[in-house]
Amino acid sequence: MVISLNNVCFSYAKQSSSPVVNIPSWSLAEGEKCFIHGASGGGKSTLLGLLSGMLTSNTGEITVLGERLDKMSNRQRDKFRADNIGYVFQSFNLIPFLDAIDNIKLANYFSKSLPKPILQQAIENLLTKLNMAEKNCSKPVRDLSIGQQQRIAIARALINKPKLLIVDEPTSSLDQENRDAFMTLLMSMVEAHSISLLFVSHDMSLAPYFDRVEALSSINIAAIDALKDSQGK
Amino acid sequence: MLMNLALKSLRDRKGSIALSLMAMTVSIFILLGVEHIRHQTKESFSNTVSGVDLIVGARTGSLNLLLYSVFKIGNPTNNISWQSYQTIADNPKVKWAVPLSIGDSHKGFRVLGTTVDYFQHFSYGKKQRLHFAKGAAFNNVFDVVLGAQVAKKLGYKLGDTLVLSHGVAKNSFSLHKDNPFTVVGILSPTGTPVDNSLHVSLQGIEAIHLDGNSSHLGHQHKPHLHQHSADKDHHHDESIHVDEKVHQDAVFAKLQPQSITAIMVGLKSKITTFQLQRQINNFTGEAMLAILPGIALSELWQMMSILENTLLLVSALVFVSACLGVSAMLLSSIRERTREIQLLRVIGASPMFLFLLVELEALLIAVISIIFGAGLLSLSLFFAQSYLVSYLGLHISINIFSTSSLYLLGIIITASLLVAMIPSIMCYRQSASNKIFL
Repeated sequence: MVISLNNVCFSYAKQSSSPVVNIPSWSLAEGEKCFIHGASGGGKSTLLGLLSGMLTSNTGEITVLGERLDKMSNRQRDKFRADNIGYVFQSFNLIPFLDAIDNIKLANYFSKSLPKPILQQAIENLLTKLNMAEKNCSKPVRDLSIGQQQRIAIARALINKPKLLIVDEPTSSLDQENRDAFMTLLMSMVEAHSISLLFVSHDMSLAPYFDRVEALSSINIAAIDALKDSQGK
Repeated sequence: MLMNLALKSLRDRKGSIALSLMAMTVSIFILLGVEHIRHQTKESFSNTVSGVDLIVGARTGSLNLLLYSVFKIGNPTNNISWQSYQTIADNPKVKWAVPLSIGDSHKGFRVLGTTVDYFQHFSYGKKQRLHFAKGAAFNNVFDVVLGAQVAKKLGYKLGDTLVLSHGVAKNSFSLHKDNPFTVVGILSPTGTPVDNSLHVSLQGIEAIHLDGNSSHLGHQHKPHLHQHSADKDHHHDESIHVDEKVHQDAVFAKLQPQSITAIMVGLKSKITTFQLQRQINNFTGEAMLAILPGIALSELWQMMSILENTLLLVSALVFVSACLGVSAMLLSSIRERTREIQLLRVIGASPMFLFLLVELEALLIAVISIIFGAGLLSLSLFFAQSYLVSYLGLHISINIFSTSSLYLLGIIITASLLVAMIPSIMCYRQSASNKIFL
């Protein structure tokens, strides 16, 4: 199993009676490409925060790639994240004033997965595979289009050869054409590197790209509780 | 990588960074400047006179006497008589006594009347003697020896003639066109008020002040200062113009000074310093004051220290406010950079990395400001140097790096890092908080 959750409970305020995330049991198998859909406010970001080790659960077990995240120290979690988890956001995936190459180098800096001599070559290969023109690689990324930025974001997420890729609404700021191109590229990269993918979006039209589709509300029972609470009032 | 990120991040926020840099640069300029000038003034003053055991003048404040006799600042209130000089010079404890006569000027530079002994006994810095860059000491009534700055500023060479006037104003009215002096010597630079002085014999001073019948003292009849046996160079003068020698002696007697301004005294034994000082202060013939240059200087420092400390305090406060300004700028930048911080955390940066990033930015601002501030200060000193030398007699070195200024730079960097702890800790806490992920 790449991800395995067991009785995970999380709330932002300590000793809160209404958790934001409450997952009795959920898992993601190796090589699986899972699409989770749900409206915003359903605890989506919180769940991703827990899986990436940015947040720690109040109770329950979170196992990622065979390691118990809830048992790690903060420092270990930061290192684990840098080494094993690729992450692509909806926007602001890159430091805007650095160029593509520096952005990717920065991601490698925290993991040090690649030694310096071969890093430059690895970055160039990756960017070529992602159809990035060489002249665009040395411009500050803020001068590039959103489509180009999202492609560099994939390269940045993949540079440390992660086993798990978490993608959070990556296409919502792209138009139809760019969205399809992005999805095709992402899927081919995931296939090529045999990475497990967890993809979160509210856009159901993307579902055909995945071999497993789930609703967030069916995983996170806290979302249902919240719904009931609001109806009860 | 941290460095690269910090540098590029600063460059990305040019506008606010430039203003913070300016504030820091100005504050460091002031702080380094005050510290530098404070030390240099002390050094310059302390270097002005050495090897002189006592300075004797008319009864006045000891600081006043020191300032007008050595630093050529201010004007003497009173003179002392030639007889008193003779008495002191004849004292068995006294090794040498050099008379000084002050109060005249040439184009804004002070004229010092003295004897040839001055060039032998006066020393500055670490007991360095005066050296002649060109020529030699004065020999005749109408000979003048120039300080290095005087020669440089006014462009005088050996053999040039110049007119000395009474009083110290730059444009003195009472010029005596008929008494031109000839440049016979130019001293090497000393970095002391000596550079800004013209040195003539006491008789020369008297000649400036002689009115009416000065015409027959014209430079064709240059009278000798020394008795005829004293000088070999002018031996032929005597043999050829015998009757002129008689004339010279008459002129010489006529020009014998009645009073002088101050006396520099060197003693045979330092142990007798206080004894002689008391003796002079209690001298019944005339109200006189003897001071020890070192003690008078330390009185001066004591008086200056309040001013100095106030200046230093004010510049330190200016610096602290600039540091706070930088921190405020960094703090607001952290608000703007929430997404950036979040991204860095997600790709594996620890909160400590973000703490260090903000500290490094503060450090870079401090270092760049130091470079600018020090550069600006050196440049200003470069342009102000000649002004300070010619108007205040202060020799301020352009090299601002001394042990104490390096020490000060250490404090500047430490202080800016400490003040930058505020935004750095904010950044740390923000990046470690679980709200960062929302």
